[in-house]
Amino acid sequence: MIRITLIFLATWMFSNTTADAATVFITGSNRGIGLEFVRQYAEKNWNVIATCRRPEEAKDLRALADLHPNVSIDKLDVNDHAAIDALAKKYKSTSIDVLLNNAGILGDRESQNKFGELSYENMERVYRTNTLGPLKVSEAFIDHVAASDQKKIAVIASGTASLTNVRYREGMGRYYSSLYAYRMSKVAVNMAMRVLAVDMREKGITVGIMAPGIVETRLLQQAGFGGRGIDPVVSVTGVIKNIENMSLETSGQYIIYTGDTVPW
Amino acid sequence: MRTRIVFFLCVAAIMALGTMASAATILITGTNRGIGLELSKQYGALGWDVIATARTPDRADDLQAIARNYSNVVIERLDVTDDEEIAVLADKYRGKPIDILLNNAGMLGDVTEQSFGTLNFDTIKHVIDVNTYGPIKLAQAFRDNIAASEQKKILNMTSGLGSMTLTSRRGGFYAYRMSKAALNMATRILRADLQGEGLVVSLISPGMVQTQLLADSGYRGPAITTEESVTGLIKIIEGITLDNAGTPVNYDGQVLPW
Repeated sequence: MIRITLIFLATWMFSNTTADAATVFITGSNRGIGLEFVRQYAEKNWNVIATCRRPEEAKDLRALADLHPNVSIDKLDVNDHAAIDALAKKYKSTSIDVLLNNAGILGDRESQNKFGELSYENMERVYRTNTLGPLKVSEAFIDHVAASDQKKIAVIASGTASLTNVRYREGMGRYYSSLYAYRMSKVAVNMAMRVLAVDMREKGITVGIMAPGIVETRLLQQAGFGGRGIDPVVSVTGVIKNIENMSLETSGQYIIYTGDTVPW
Repeated sequence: MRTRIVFFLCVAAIMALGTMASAATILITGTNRGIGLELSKQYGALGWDVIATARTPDRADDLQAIARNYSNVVIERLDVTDDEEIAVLADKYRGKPIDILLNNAGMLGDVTEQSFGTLNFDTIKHVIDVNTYGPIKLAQAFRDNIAASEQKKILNMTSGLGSMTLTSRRGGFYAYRMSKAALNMATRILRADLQGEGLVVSLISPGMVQTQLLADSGYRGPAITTEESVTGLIKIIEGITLDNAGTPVNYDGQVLPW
């Protein structure tokens, strides 16, 4: 009798991570901010669909998946539209409460920092990943989000995309860098998500434009500002709170991890 | 007596030549129709040296008519997405001061192909090529010409649809709006980068104008004529100086929010 009860209890505990738990789909989850999202959502007992380009190299992500049975890993390059469609098909019976467009690249720094020496291949590559990637992912998974309880789409934006905050070089904050390709891609995705918020209103889907702050990640190091970022834990804790607070009234807002709005 | 007449005629000729040589020069892209066409006409009428570019000059009948009317308007072939054509044009005008580079060429893109649910990513890419990368490439190619001029202006044509604030209730037009937002950003950065050299970089917006582009968008509201828009724009452009705020100014002087 005790054995049966114990088996029942065990089964019940492990099956807790099924239909009742909310589901989050995260791109670019192998390191940095994406990885931290996986960890925090997993610890909240969410179902986490963690995607990245090379799962076989993503040691930290695999360790999380080993630790949390509710984390599953899928291979996905957000530049591969056919792969996005295929993954959407694989998960067609899965409702996604939070579609988290996190995958993003800086691009080559040198060829986007000096006017007169700009690389357009670099610009296109960065635009494809940072701007078109989130658009395509959102389009492919829109029904999954619409079928969910929470119906949220979020993009990890960048404070560097604030047009208001682009100032002269002199007396500029210590983080100023031209970064044409990166900033252009990030302002464009801001615009895309702003427009999406309008388009998705009638479906009851809310869209969040989430700036994570200046975070200590490899991307920040590539930008030449390593050592000056905040802990990803702090950033992601804040962004998750902002995601929790998303509503139709505030849909399409540009908001940083502290909860403050960022000027366009 | 005749010598004196001849002398004065020569002086007059030299003065006239002198005036012509120091006429301001403007390079305008996308001049085969719409706002670009009207810009060519009005700047031409004002006596500027106008370098009016279009992708297929031989098919640009209205533009050719303007060039026939004004000898100071010259037509050049240019597709702003074609690196070679940009290089050829830059080569041709090397060393010549150009007071204003007016990046006007732009496209809307097919409406259905930039609606959510039916997005065509090739179209989206083409739209940013024309509307955003084109202007940057031209600014790079003609930077020295601008720097050598008196007015030193680089003006990029943006749109109210590039404003995230103004379009808080409009959906669709992803490709066009993303391209204009990106153009706004590129212009802001460029302005910061070139300010130290005395170059004036900013954004202008034409308002809602009766053009083919507006018709293609399906817009049914009130719209002004190209004449009214351009008359306003020319005044605005005149007033844009080095310490301009770098925010988009509409043809009527209104500042567009981001």
